[in-house]
Amino acid sequence: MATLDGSTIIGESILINGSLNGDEDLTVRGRVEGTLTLTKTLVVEQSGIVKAEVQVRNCVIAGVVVGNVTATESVEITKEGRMVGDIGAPRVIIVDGASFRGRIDMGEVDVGRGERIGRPIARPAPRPALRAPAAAKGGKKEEAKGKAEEKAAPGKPPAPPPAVGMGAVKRKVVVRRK
Amino acid sequence: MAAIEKTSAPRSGANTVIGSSIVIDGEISGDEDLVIQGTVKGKISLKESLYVESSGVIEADIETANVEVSGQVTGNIAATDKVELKTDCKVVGDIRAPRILIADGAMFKGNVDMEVRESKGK
Amino acid sequence: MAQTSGLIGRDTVVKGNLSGSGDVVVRGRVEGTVSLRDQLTIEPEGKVYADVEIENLDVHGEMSGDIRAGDKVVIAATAKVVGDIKAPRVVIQDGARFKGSIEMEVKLPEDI
Repeated sequence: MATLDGSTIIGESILINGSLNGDEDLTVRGRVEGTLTLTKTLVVEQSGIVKAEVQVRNCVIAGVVVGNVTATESVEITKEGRMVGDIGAPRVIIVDGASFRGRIDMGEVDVGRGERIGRPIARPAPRPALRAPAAAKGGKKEEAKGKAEEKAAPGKPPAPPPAVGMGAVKRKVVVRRK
Repeated sequence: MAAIEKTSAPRSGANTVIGSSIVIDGEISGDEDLVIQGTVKGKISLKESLYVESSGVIEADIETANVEVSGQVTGNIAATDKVELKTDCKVVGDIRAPRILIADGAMFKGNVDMEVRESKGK
Repeated sequence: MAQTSGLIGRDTVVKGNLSGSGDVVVRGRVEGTVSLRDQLTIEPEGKVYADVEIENLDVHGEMSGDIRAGDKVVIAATAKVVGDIKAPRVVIQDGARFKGSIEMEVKLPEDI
């Protein structure tokens, strides 16, 4: 899918030192140093060396890249590719034989934490009921689930006023007819 | 995913083409022909030929063997062989080369120095 | 290929140190540390939350931890891995989710 007109190729003996910006695909067979920003695809061929901060849509590395690469779509390091730097892209492909050293950030990766060895494995405390004060006095933790009602704990004197919403408080509404 | 081989047909046999949407701010050097359709600011230093196409805009000093300008150049040009300014080009700067061709319709402002060099057999 | 000497089934949870030789396949859950001489394969349902020291690692499931491999680490398309990897060869397949650092040996030209 090469665009013949206006696709840029940097030949093997060319060295560009500075900032390069463009709205087209770019193939590097020579050397680019500095910064490289494209809205399309960067291909670093086997003879290519890019020593730059790179921001592109897609990046295919078959040569050498030293610097950080940020791609809005994908980064691929082929078998001959070598890269040192950080990659930020939603898709990253590293083929067997490639060399890479750096960080890779694909955005959020949702992985459960689990417990690492060394931390005491604690039983989760039973969920306290919605306020079962009187009952708790005895020191016994009740299985709260489902036992929300009637904690009318037997005996024990100064039962603190049951918390609101316990359902234990019943109000009588009396309508007196005149 | 992407097609990796980008062997597009080079223009005038050149291997390096700077496309029209490319802007380079820095130095370019090399041992091969270079075709510029985009914008270059800074410095260009080649051992072969430079072709500035009609969409090309160069704000740089140029040092090469050959230059052919159809676009815009603001800067000094020094060529060891020849400088050719084609129709509708716009060049502002000094030119130093043993051979110079300025076509009808070219716009040029600057000094011209055709020093006579004693290379092999003149 | 060494024979599969360990299979951690789907409903099994191992908490602690997992070590030994032979190939181990994880379909359940491992938490702690893993130190094996040959290959660890984490199948798509498998989850390993551990630092892993291994020869070959093949991840198709979930993993969180640091990896040191003697030969190769493959993060397959269904894998989700968070951690730092140090190995001579690392493969990330299209579709894999990964966050962390990778350290392989990179031979650069001298004039870099």
